[in-house]
Amino acid sequence: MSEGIIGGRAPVIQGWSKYTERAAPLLIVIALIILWDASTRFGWVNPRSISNPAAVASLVWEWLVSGFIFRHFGITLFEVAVGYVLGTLFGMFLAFMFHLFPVVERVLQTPVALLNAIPRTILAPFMVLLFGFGVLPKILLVVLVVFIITLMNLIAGLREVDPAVVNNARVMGGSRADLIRYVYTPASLVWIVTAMRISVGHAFTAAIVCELVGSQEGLGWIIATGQTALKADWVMAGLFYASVIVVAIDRFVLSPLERKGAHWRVF
Amino acid sequence: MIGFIERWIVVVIFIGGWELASRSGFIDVFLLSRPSSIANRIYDWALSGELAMHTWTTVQEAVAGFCIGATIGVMTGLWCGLNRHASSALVPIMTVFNALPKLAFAPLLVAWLGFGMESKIALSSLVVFVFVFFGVFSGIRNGDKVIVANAQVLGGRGWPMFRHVFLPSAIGWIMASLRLSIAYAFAAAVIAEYLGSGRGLGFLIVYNKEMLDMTGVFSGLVVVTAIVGGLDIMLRRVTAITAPFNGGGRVERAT
Repeated sequence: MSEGIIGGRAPVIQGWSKYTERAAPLLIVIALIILWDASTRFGWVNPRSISNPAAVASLVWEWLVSGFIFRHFGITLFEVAVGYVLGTLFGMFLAFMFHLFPVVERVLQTPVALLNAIPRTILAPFMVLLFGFGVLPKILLVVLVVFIITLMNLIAGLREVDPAVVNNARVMGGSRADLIRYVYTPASLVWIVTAMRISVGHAFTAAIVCELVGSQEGLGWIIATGQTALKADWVMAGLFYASVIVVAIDRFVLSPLERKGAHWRVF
Repeated sequence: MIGFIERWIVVVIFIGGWELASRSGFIDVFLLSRPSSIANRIYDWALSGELAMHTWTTVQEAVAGFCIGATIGVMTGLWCGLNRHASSALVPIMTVFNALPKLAFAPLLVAWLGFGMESKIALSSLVVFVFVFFGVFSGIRNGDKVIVANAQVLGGRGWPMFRHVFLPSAIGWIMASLRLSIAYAFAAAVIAEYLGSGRGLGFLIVYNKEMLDMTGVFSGLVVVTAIVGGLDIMLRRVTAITAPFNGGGRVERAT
């Protein structure tokens, strides 16, 4: 059991070629889909509650062809994008305030700790009741979720900035603005990117949960409508699209950005 | 004393300002309620036994979900951390799974497992499982490579290797992931209750939302927050017990 632990990636594993290793996860997924199909076919599970792979696949295709999905996709993406940008900016701003003005940290640490301790997504019904069924409550919930993650990460990041660099910059006559511009911002870039990567999944979850609780459009609305109308294929296809977008953004935007970000780590 | 005032002043001003603003009619009580009505409502619920019933339901769901999810998470995490075949087959799937908006699966589970406690336990354990899995897996994988290599050269294998090398280096990660996931367990249970249930704190909140009763919504949220916050503080104390083990890797290296 201990073999192969050292050295990160062993090129060859006994008995397993590189291809087997690549194929194994794929085979498991295919097996799960077959199991899903079989379970409804043989009546192990009521097909009305989890639909079946063929029905979901055809619905996914139909929505894509008819363009039905794009409107809802767009709404959710809009909520997440606006909330995400505002949340990240606000979190950055507050983290810098915390770091540069100790009095801000002393006064605000309790409210922030309280906000950090509670699961923010459960605030969805509150947001919907207060701000209605439009996009505003979703955006605000996303802002809240993203802002806390950014703030917590960035506070930790700013503490890690080498004090020698800060002191040197001060000795050379750097003002507070110079410190922010030339020391803290470049040093904390990598932490901001990490926070962005962590928060994107949470942001989508928050937007979709808020849509589930009360909305008129968006991916969460599709899922909720499927649930109330007892259309399991709608729920499944909606979840499929929600999952695809989150995984795609993580894979193709934020992962590469984070890998690149590792080089930005200047000091 | 000054430190204490500094720490709580914003919270006190916020609650006091809210109470005053609602009493003076500056903000709409119907829309934003007021702290004293919320406290009153919670007190009423406590007297009528409603609070205990709903809280107990949610606590059962979250704790059951946490236990199931944590057990499976620790086991598969250890398996993938220690066995290369398992990790190459499962970790890519788990990585994708980790990125999914899992709480959005609540309607599916409610449709599948019904309005009872099963669907809430299922969502809770799903969320906890993924979180704990990565905590345990990273804990094992991020152990000091030098120590692992040395122990292997010295003939370390099997149980003693696990007991004296992998476990000490991973225990901090495992404990942290278990502590953090209890909040997720509650969030998942409450959100699954939003999407269909007959009792529980999530039901209480969403019921009051449908009644357009903001005081009820706030009261429910306060109760959930208090429980999760209280558990977090308690678990911080408990996990502090394992703290001496956290530096195990570094200590051994220094000698």
